[in-house]
Amino acid sequence: MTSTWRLALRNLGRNKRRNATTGFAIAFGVAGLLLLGGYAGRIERFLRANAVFLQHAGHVAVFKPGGLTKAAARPLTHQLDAAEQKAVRALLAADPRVDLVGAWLRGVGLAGNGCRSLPFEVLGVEPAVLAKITSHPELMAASPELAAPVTGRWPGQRQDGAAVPAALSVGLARLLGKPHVAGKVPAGPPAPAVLDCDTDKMAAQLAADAEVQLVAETYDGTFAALQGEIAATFHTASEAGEDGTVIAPLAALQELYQTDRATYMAAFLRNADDAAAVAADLRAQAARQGLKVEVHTVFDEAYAPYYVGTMAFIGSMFGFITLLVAGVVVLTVLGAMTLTILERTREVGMFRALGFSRRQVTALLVREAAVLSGIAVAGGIAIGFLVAAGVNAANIRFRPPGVPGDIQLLIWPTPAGAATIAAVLVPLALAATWLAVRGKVRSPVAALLAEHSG
Amino acid sequence: MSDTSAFITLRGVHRRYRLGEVEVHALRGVDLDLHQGEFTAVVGASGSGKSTLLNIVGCIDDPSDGTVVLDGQDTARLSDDAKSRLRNRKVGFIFQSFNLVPVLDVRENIELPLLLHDEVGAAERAQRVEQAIADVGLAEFARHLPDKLSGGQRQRVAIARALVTRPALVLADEPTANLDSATTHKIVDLMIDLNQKRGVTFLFSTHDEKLMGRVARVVRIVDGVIAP
Repeated sequence: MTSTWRLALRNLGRNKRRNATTGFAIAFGVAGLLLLGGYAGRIERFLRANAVFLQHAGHVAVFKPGGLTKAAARPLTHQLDAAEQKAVRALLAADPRVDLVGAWLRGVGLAGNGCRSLPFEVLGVEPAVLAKITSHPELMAASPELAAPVTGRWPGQRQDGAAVPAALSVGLARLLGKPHVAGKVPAGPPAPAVLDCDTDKMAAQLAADAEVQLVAETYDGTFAALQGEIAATFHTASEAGEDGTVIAPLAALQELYQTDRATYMAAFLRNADDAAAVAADLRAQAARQGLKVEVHTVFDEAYAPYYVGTMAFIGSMFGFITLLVAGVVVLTVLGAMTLTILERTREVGMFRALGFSRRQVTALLVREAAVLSGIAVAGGIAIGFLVAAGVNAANIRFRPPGVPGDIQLLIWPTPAGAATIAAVLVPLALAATWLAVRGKVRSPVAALLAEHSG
Repeated sequence: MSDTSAFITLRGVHRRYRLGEVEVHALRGVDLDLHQGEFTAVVGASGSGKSTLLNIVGCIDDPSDGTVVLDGQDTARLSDDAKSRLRNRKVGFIFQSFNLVPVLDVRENIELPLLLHDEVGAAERAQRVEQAIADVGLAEFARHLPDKLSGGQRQRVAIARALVTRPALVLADEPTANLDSATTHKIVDLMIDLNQKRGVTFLFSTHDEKLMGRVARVVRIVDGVIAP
């Protein structure tokens, strides 16, 4: 350690209480920011995982032009036909940044139980893709509570001639009076062909099997129906869909709507940070091939409004709190160093008399602030990580707004976040010190040593 | 006429400053020459301008009028950084209240001005500090902090710190004002001894008439004017 750094370290001991107060203010600010950032990071991963994997948005999605908003109303002109699906799949599959590609068909219809019919929104997905995305490590880390079905298993391929395996949102299954999934229906008398609706027998008769009827208007304007069986019940990522969402194999849904089209194709990337680049490359390649498509990423507000909008709000809040903490740090350091310099005016004069330049004296004092803020920031980071570990170990559960069910309160501070906080706060503390001392250091040396004037 | 053999030359030096609403005329046309190796006392009553004179000689204050030439350099032409460098290389300061850094021990306090001498390596720096400590008779206190030392010992540290850079001039502003009579004479003895052994020019201020007989040259200052 050089003499000047040693001097800076020892000078911190000259007013222990003040320096401890200043250090704790910085440390708690750093710990608070680290925890807030860790919480924001956890929420970001939770919402992103829900959007990408549970709402099936993928990282990059490809629509027919206008398909994002008009595919449901005008499917024949705004959905991807089979040739387009093949071309898009080929482009995405050739990109090494892409891990998985799938096609999705969104639709609406009615789910019936023999007594009543309820509207649903249905998502047709390839079972192999569904199996992969619902067990994706990122989803299991960020949103394990919603990743697995509440009951049953995610639907697999439909067997020839068999009922369509479908996953129903928990609310829809409850409204249809279907508490059991296929294969898990308790033994008992079968339901009659014609149910005793609106009688006290109805509930037992509905619960006697896991069958539902899926009815929809085909793309050519007729009505079609398929017999379905409940393979699973699940919580949707958003409470809004809890009472009316169905997930079914893509092929079965295409059969229901009598089409080979898909609403969109989605790509799941190995690294989410590549989304914009993959989307840009895809647009360029599609244009070269004359393929008219519209490409979105999960970071587009138009495509994933809940995720992007929520993160924008959290980002604003985090930025505001960061400003407040930075202000507190600056004012605390400014106050402490102003008092320090007032107490040590003669000492500053002595250093100047010995030949230290203004810059060298300022550097001595800034070194003190560097040591103090460095120790405080390191302490704050340690406190932040310790508190986060304690909170995570405590398994505290809460229900975020709009999410059906509890999730664990997790705080995921990161070394990068800690480094960023340090990179912002330490220079601010040094700048505050410079502001506090520069005026005094620029005073005439004789004035600094004024007590000695004769 | 300027004395070309003088190490320091002051001509027509005035110093005025404001003290609240009042303008104080601390020096009123001072002419002074100091030669290499002289041991000079500036004597005067409190408020006579002794400290102002030493401050101007040591380049820690600027004259309102007049010229100061130190070792051939007109100090008015020097930037603040150049004056800092000049002080560090040519001038040693001894203050009335010692002005030691309380968190540094004797050795480290003495080493302070040498830290600015990039050409002096760590080994030579240590050797020069040890020599300075020995010169002022504080070898056994080298690791003591200032608050463990008596007033006389602290002033010895300040003298060692002033001499460690081997300056041509040492300015001592009432260095014995806070010391008892016996310690005062020991400190003056030490400064005279160093002046004679090292040939360092000493200029010190005092209002203690008893010290007049100890020094080779006395400059009396009255109301900012050097008495004939």
